[in-house]
Amino acid sequence: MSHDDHTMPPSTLALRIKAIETLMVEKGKIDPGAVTEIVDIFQNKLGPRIGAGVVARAWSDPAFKARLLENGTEALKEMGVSGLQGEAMVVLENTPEVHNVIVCTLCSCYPWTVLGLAPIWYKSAPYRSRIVIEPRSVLSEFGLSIAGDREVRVYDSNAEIRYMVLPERPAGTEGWSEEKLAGLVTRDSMIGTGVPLAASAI
Amino acid sequence: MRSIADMGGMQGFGPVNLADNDTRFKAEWEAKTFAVNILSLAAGCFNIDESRYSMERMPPLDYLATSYYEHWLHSLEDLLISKGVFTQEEYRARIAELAHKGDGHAA
Repeated sequence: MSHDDHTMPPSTLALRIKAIETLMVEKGKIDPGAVTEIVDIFQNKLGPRIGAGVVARAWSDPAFKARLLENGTEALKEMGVSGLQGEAMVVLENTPEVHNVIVCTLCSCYPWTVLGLAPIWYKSAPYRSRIVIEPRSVLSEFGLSIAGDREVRVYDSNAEIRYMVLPERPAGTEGWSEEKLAGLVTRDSMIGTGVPLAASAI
Repeated sequence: MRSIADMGGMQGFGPVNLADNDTRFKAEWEAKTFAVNILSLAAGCFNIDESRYSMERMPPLDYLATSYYEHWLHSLEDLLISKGVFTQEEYRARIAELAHKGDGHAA
């Protein structure tokens, strides 16, 4: 509440949201049960396994990869992945010359539909403030050393455009099935703060 | 004036805390705040730009001293009341009623 609101008694966070929820249900703005359903979708149904499937398919199917990089929003629909609020998805391809990493400096915009909910550090002040001015230092804190002659590109997400990184396919995975490849794709490799597991990892 | 939420390039926040790697809601109130926000957007009570702008207008010291989902809760209170979805009086009365019933302590 605002600072001038001295008459509001101190209330627990749980009471405040319970009050809002019950009022919204009474006013017909929210269906009873919808809150539980939304929490279940975000906490249990969405997650980085979806993004890993997209990456594995892009590694296996050059035509799909071309469509994914050309128009991420449309290509993801082929895999049954759509924006929640109509936001566009842009997929950024890592190459030997370029390493991409995503952030939302203003708040917490994140590609929910392919990665699920964001980790706490992604929403934290240190990550949001520093990744845009000293990306190599921040990436090194994640254990990622980017060669000096390799460009680092930082993409600042917003409400209309969400980004995800298409990491490089690990060496030694020729002939692997999409399912096996997906097992190498970590959440952080799709944020750009990590790389996929090595072929020897599984 | 630059909003406190406009953090890109700010100095002095220190290293990223990699141990904060969890994506799950830490308490029921966080999950409810998230869901009620999504559902309010879907119901057209406000749009996503208004939601973000509401958080960006938080007093800077409050913004820094409160957690991520508290920012969302702030914007829900701000927007639903200012747009007349319910009144400040209704909201206060409901909180008092729930507190009287002993609700809200578990989460």
